[in-house]
Amino acid sequence: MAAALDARRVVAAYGEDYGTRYFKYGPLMERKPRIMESVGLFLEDSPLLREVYGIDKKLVVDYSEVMRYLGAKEMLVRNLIYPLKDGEIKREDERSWMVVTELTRKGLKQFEDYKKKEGFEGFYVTAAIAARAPEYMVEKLLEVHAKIDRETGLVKAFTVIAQPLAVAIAEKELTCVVVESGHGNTQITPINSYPIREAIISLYRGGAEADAVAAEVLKDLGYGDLASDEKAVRRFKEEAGLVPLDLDRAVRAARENPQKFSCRVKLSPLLEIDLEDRGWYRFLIGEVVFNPRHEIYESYKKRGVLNIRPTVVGDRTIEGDVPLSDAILQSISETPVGIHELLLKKVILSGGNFQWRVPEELKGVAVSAREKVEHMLRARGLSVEVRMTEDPQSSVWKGCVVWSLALPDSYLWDENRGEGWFKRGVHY
Amino acid sequence: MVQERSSLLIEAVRRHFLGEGYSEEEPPAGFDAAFRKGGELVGVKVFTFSSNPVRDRRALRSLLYRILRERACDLAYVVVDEVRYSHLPSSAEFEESCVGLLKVGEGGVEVAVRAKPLRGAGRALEAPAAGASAVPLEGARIEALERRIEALEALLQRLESALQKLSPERAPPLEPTAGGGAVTGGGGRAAPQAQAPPAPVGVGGELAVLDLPFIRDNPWIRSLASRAGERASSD
Repeated sequence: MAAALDARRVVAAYGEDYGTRYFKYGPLMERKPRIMESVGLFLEDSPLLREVYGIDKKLVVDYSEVMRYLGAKEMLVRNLIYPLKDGEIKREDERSWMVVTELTRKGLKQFEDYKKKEGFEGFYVTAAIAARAPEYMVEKLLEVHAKIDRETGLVKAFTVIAQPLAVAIAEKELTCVVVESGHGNTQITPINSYPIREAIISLYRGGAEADAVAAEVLKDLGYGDLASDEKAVRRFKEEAGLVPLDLDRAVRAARENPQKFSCRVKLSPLLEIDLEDRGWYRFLIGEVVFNPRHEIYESYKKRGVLNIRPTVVGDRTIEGDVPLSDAILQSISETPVGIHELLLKKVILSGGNFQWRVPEELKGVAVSAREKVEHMLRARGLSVEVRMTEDPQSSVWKGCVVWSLALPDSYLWDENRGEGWFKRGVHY
Repeated sequence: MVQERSSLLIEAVRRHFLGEGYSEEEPPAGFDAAFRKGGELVGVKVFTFSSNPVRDRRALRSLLYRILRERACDLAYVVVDEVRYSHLPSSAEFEESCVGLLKVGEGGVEVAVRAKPLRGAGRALEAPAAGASAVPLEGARIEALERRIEALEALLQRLESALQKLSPERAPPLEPTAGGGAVTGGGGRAAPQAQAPPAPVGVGGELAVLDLPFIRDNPWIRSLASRAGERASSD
């Protein structure tokens, strides 16, 4: 069976990925998403800004613009807003919703010239949010888009899908398990044409926990002053962090041969960190993503560095530090028996938190996220196939634009199914 | 964003028919899926149970009457979850109606009642005694037309694959769609569209993006395009 796609929809397909750290957005015609940091800065009433620079904005978004107005640390604490926490925004958190509205508006307005295209009546916007995001987020996002459409005429139709579903679409898989790990959370979502909602496990851990361990490592190395500098910690994590195939063996190997596992990380032209004989620390940073239950993290837990809240799924509580392999298997076990084997054959990893370097000389001891998860699952005696998304940074956006492209125009929003178009003239 | 039992049933039925050598087609109105082998079109409708067995039986009979009235397929099956099988009317009612019954459970799909041709039966029922001779004539005409359509489809597929080999960038393999008219086809017939005619295609930019790796041959495009049909039949 085959038919055809509508050229108008090709032009109008637009995707939005509301990530905890980054907002990725843009039309299909751009072929890849544009990216803004999910952050907003509320400007305090300042005669200097208003009268000298003629700036009367109350809110600026995106880090590149926020940087221009950064002032004292106290002001930052009050006014710098990261709207999404663990992929969610509280209903009553008005300032966060204002930031999201501004990010969305700023994104769409970059494509105002599409209005000049023949037959263009506005974008078909598909937004992706966390699989376990509360339902009111859909309503709030609809309000945001309806408001922007009234101002700009740029949103003809709007819908929301789950981020892991978008990944499955980008990967062209109808039946699979998507494990999406971002900064704030890790979502395990079995999919069989639809996400199997009852089986979704959302762990409240992600890149932030690896950052926390990296900050502790910096402290242990004598750079305690850097531990509160978010950018420095992230850079250190990305440069030094490694995922061990087996943590105990990796630590032993690194202690026996410290030179081989050591490294230097240049954080600025003035600052270089040398791990010297403590190269084994590098494995602590990566392992925490996959198995924070390892006894090596006990001291971090006691000090409150790793305090991962549990997840409630139905009537069960899943501890936040559950090994990733256990969480994947628990999730699959909640699906119909007939698809267990299919799901185990297609475990897809996605998200920036699964992007780890594997230095050539350390291969075998240090591994990729794919190898790690496959190893953990095979250790349970299972035949599995794990793969990474081809393009972890933009796979959610890709799924969104495919959804925008293909979902029929007449398929209006259905509350029970949680899908369909909210449309101008019908819903707003 | 919720996995529904009905979609699991459809998936199981899809595997069953594809395994039997059928190919999937756009379902006619009132069906959740359709499969073709040769000239035979099989329509499949999932029946969703409520908590009330009496209401279920009534609803199921209404469904059988509608299928018989519309006769949109050559064969029709009602699909049920075996867990609630006992809520159904007796299998004799299915046998009399010609509508088949598929039971889906952990063991897969089981044909509880085999479907009988609807269209043939329909024509026989419709034909008044005085016009009895018209029945075989009409049947023969339809069969001849079906054979011609099949031959034309095969020819169209050959032409399209030849065209793609000659100029892949000008004839991207496309899938079914959401809305307006055809930009190009990918080896089959475009589903009838009730929408406005397509917008003029630009200088090729629109078509070129359809050849991006994450769009080309993406099975979700077909799956999403068919959701309007699913919705209509469940409403």
